[in-house]
Amino acid sequence: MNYPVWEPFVANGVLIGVIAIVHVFVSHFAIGGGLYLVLAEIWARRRNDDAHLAYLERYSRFFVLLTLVFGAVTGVAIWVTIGLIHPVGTKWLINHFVWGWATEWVMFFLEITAAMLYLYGWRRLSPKLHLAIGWIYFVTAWLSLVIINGILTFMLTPGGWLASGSFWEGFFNPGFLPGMVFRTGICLALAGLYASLTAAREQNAELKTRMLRFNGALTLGALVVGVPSGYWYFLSLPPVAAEQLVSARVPALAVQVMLVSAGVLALAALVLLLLIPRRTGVVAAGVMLALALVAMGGFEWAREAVRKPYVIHEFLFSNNLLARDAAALPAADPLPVAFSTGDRGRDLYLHGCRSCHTADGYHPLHDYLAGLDEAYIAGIVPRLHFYREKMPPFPGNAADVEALGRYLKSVAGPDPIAGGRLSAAAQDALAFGRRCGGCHTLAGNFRPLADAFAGLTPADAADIVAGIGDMSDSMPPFTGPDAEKERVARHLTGGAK
Amino acid sequence: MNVLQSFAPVLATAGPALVQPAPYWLLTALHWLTFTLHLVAMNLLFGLLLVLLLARRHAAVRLLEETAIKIFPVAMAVTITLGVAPLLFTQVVYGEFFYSATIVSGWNWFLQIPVVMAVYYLLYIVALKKNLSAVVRRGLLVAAAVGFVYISYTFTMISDLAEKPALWAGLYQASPGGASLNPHVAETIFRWGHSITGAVAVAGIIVLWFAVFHPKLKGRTDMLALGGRVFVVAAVKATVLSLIYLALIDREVLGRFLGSPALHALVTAIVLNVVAGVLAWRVRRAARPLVPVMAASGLVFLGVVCMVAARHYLRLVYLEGRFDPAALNVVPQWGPFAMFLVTFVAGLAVLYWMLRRFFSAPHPA
Repeated sequence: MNYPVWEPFVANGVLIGVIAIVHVFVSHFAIGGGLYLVLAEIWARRRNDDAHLAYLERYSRFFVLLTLVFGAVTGVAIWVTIGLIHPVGTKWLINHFVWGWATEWVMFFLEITAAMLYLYGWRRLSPKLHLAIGWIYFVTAWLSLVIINGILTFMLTPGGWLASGSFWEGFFNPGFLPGMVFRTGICLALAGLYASLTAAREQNAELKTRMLRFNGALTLGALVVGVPSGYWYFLSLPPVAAEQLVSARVPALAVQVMLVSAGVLALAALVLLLLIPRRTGVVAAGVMLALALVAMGGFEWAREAVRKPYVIHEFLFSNNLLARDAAALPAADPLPVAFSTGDRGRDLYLHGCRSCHTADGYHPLHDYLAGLDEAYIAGIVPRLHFYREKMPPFPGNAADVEALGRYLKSVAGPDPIAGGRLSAAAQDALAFGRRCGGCHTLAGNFRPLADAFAGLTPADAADIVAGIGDMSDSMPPFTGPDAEKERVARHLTGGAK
Repeated sequence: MNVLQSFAPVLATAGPALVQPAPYWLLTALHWLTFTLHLVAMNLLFGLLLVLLLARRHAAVRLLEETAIKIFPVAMAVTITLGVAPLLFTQVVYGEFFYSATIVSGWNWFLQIPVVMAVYYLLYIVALKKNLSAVVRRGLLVAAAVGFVYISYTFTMISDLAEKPALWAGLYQASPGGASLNPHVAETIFRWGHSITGAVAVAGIIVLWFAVFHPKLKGRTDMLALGGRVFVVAAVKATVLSLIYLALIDREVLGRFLGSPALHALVTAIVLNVVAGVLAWRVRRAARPLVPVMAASGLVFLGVVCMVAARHYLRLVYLEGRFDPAALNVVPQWGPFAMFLVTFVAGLAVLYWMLRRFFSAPHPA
């Protein structure tokens, strides 16, 4: 907790998520598009196809304007943003991988130089030299991906680095190879889709058909490669992360978004690019590109979500706290906070919660804590790490727990049940959700309770709920009113009739 | 009981330490080198843009305007890319100071990104759109210059803030959302003003290079006159602004700064720039301007290196008591460094080959 906390008006996760997703959507195209350009140029030159070459010259301008400006600047934006919201993680990634980043910088310099020379060299360079520069562009761009993929996968699967601290073990981590194959596939798929956006405007019907078929074959081929390599990537995940893809709501939703949109995209590419390319227009190509953006967003979202509660798996928590530092804190000591707003509870919220939650925006505490009493909120705080959606533990002392509980109560919303608009069953479900649902499902796959309460009467269940705090340190004492207890008990034993 | 003892996963309760991956001197040398290159590229871009806007009625400016506008997007790409490396090495060594300062002024730091992107696209529009009217074109260039003013001022402000940790807690408490500005306004303005006038001075040297390659004698003479004048006037202004800046900083800090090797760097920079100024002023009369322009450029480059060195020592003076290079925990990663070095050398070779082949190819008709 040695840094101040930046509090933008949007959630940290949303901010970095939006920037990162639009960046990778362009930067992966920057790699695949490089290969696309040289392959298409070779093809066009072999056929002496001037129309195709003229199209490729125009396309390379679009390519440079998008990738060199938007792609490059959003890449820097990711760096700027993570430095603001995750200074500890950024410092670790920078210090440990500085020579990786520096090598990537060399690649990037060559990449932008080659891209510009390729663009300005269409009418100046011999075909052989022009293609050579195109190849230099693609190779250096792909090598940039190799380096970034090594560092990115390290965060989720640091492997032997946790014990050795070795650069190479961290870089060539268990997720490196599957990540590389998977992302290369994405690059090629995007190359075909971006090219289709411009090819769909082509007036020369024969050229348009030929290009769209080529693009379709590239996209579908890459998607086919994506299926086994995606599964390979899944297998490389730490068990706790893989489990989250199934059991936790956000990662599971993200994977579903990815799979559905990728499936629809594959079908659309098959029909629109391979079967009826002549009829495919800019709108259809734009829709396919949008589907690809959603699929890619789903993938990156799932990857980020399963990494929680860590920034570096089992090493650095998402709230900038090193696991070993948290473990070493004596239980009686307050959480050290170097920069204070003057309100201890707010400081603890900013340092402990703000990296993933906002008061009333994304992952809103206003809603999550609505209707809960202060004592219960304070009871949850030291038990956050048992939650179904993974959260870092809170290592403050009793006074910190009290201060954070007080602050969180101040941002919690009013009790939705008090409005009287919910049915009895909905009230019961809501009460169960906010008292037990963070760590349990009733009949689902995460610490299900239905069997344990089968055959009990609501009165028996209410007795159990009342004494829940004495059963295990993992559960906070029940501190709500009797009516709430009865609602929870009713839901546990079959719900309101 | 500490709560982590009940935390389910096996935590890396020991694990690697956060160390410096290379000796301090190596990281500093790389920072000096790359930061100097970044400054030269930035000075070329922003300084030349200011020359175009401020001296637009000068005959020589009209001669170089078209070419300058064409190279702006390339210069922007080079400036951004060359800016990445010094930022990287700064964060390795001074990360704690750098991140804290950027967070305290988070919005200003973050907003640079959309401004950079807007400026980049503005420069591309001006370079690629052939049919823009003179008024629109000038308007777009002014907008780009305003963007550069924001970016450069923010960089200066946050760099200065990173050297003053004592300010952070108060600024953070006053504005936890990250909207704080550096309260040392006068210092920041003069420090920034020095760097901007310095950029214009470097642009004066760039104008001399335009002159060297200009095919007509009249145009060449005009450009040599303009470049020499721009360099000398801007260099004098930059020196005056830097002296005012030094007069504004804390007396005790100034004393230690002038007692450090920074004094040698400053004196050397002034001497180099005076000689460069004489060469730049007299070059208008030279029959063969290439040699004096090369010499002036070399001197100015070394002058920029000296300014980077002075800036480095100023930071050390400000951070005395909080940062000690001798106390850094260094565990060199020589293997990964070798990977970088080999890549860097090979990259330079490939860069040279590409540029040589490109520029030796005939111009299209």
